[in-house]
Amino acid sequence: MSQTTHPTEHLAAYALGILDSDEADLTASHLAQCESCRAEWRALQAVVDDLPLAARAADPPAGLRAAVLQSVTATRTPAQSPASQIPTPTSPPWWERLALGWRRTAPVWGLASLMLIVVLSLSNLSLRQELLQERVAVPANLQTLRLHGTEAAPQAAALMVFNPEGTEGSLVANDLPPLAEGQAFQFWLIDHDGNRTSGGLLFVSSSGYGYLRLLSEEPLQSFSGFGITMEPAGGSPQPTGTRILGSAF
Amino acid sequence: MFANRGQLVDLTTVDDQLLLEFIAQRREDALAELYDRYGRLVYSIAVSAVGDPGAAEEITQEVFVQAWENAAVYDHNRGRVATWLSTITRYRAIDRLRRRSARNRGQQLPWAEVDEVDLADNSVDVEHAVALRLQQQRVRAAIRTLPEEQQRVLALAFFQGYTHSEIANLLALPLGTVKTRIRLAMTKLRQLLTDT
Repeated sequence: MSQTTHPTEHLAAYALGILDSDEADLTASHLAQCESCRAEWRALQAVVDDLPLAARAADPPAGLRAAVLQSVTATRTPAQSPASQIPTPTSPPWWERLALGWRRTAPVWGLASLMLIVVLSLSNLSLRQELLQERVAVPANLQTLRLHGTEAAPQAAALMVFNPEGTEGSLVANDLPPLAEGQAFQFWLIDHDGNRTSGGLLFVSSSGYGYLRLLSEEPLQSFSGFGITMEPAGGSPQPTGTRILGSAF
Repeated sequence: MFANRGQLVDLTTVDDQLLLEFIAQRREDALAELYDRYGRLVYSIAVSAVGDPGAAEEITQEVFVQAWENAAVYDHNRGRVATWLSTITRYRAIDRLRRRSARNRGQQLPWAEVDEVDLADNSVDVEHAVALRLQQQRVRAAIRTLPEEQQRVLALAFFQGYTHSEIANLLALPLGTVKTRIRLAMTKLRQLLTDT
């Protein structure tokens, strides 16, 4: 679709998020370079934003308010008492006592220290390797999966960490590309038929670090892969924008 | 920054933006106030989409939990809180429908009559609520100007996330007819809601 062939008939459906993925890709590419179509799309998007106000009113059940509040109470992490984090020494701390002893015996320790430096330097490389392995070691009751940056964002990386059942977890990402105004990063679960289901929108800092809590009715292992795309703020029912990260089991 | 703001404030008098700041501070009373303002809106959208009151309850809970978790990153420059919650609700509902392959066939149009009960609670934040109520009436009236066949395809697309081809299959219509109806409906709504 060239810049001069305006996808006028697709803009409404694009705003509604109901275009097939091929048509959505073409429309998104055109919008990126055509200001007049972008203006038209924004106006249609404003209509879509208002449509919920025309929904038939239905009174929520009386107990739903309490259930909502109970839900957030259940998600709260108990705050640690500040007092429990602050040590209350009754005598000089161990490091001060050690430093005092060191100053008293410095001449004796000088030669020994030099030898130790040599030994430690030699063993440092292998220790470093072991430590790096330890840092990425995954406990038995957690699973991880990496997502790799696509050509559109080769520097981006993400890691999914989830429970053995594959129903709950977290995703963290770093070096995400800058988002234009009105855009968001959306996480997708891909089944074995290639169908995409939204997993939610990432929360992204200005430095490009993002995270998302993963909740899935189906085990994450039952999906064939995952991806992250750029979408309009609020997300899309199906992927429409540039693919940033991807992975497969 | 707002650690001490609002401790003695009557939450029914604060605007939506400040309310979300209180929620970001983990004030459950602020979330309760948000629910009082928009619980009916969220639940109504969910019922319109999934049809099943039980599923709509679950979606409503999920939406407010998401609001609780994301309040700190809400950007008021990107739209009203009502729009934010509505968008979350719609996509959660469509996700659920797609996952279960159980979308209803849209026998009954989910669009409200113009004078139906308000979706948002108008008893608080009066200036904002009045503006929201006026917009609600405009949108409802605009929808009612559309021919019924356009209302139907728009409802299937908006509330249930059906694509053009899915709607064509569902209603046994030519694909071009579906595309035209959606385009005409959206163009008409745009004219009615943009021109004052």
